[in-house]
Amino acid sequence: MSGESGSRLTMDYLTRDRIDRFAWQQQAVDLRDGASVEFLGIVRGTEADHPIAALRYEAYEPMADRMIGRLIEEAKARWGLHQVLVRHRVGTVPVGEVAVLIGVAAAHREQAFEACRFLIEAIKRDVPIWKTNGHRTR
Amino acid sequence: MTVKVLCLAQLRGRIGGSETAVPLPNGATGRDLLRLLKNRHPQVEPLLEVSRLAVNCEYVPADAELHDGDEVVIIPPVSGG
Repeated sequence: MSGESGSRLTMDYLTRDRIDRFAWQQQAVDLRDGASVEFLGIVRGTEADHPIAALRYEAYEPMADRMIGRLIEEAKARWGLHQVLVRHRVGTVPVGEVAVLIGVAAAHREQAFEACRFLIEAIKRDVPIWKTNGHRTR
Repeated sequence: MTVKVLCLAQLRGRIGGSETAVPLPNGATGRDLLRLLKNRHPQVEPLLEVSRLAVNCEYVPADAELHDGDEVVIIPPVSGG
């Protein structure tokens, strides 16, 4: 349920593990698609001008996972997407590592760009995930 | 009736533990619950003011009626991504 509590159900879109930044590029190509757009949210080395070593992400996991699943369905229906990949990391994410990865493939670039933008903006606005304190470097 | 209130992120531990049972009069709404919490915990009023409520993993409007046994989650402004 929270960032660190014990047992939980399997999650589809949230992960405690490192996100492979090439995960989207390794997906098989669907020949109906002529456009692929990817967004990577990466932990910056500073937070409010202070150097940090990592950020911690906390989520209300059952709700966050379900909402991301719904947003994906909405994006697929609205832009006719064939392939979508969303991963959001929770727990401690060291600087330089991927906090969120979104990949979308569509027939044409307009749909792909718009859908990718829709997904990241909706996640940032509505999905119950929070950055908590950054871990400062010494 | 009694609802279970769960506080996450910035609110965690600031409204008496992360999970609190709150007795409410029958027919109380989300807004009534928030008002009660604001009165009890004035130090987090500004945060409650900008928080949303979720019941059973769905956002609900402030005027939604709550029911006995509901798990109400208070969702402070999110900051994922």
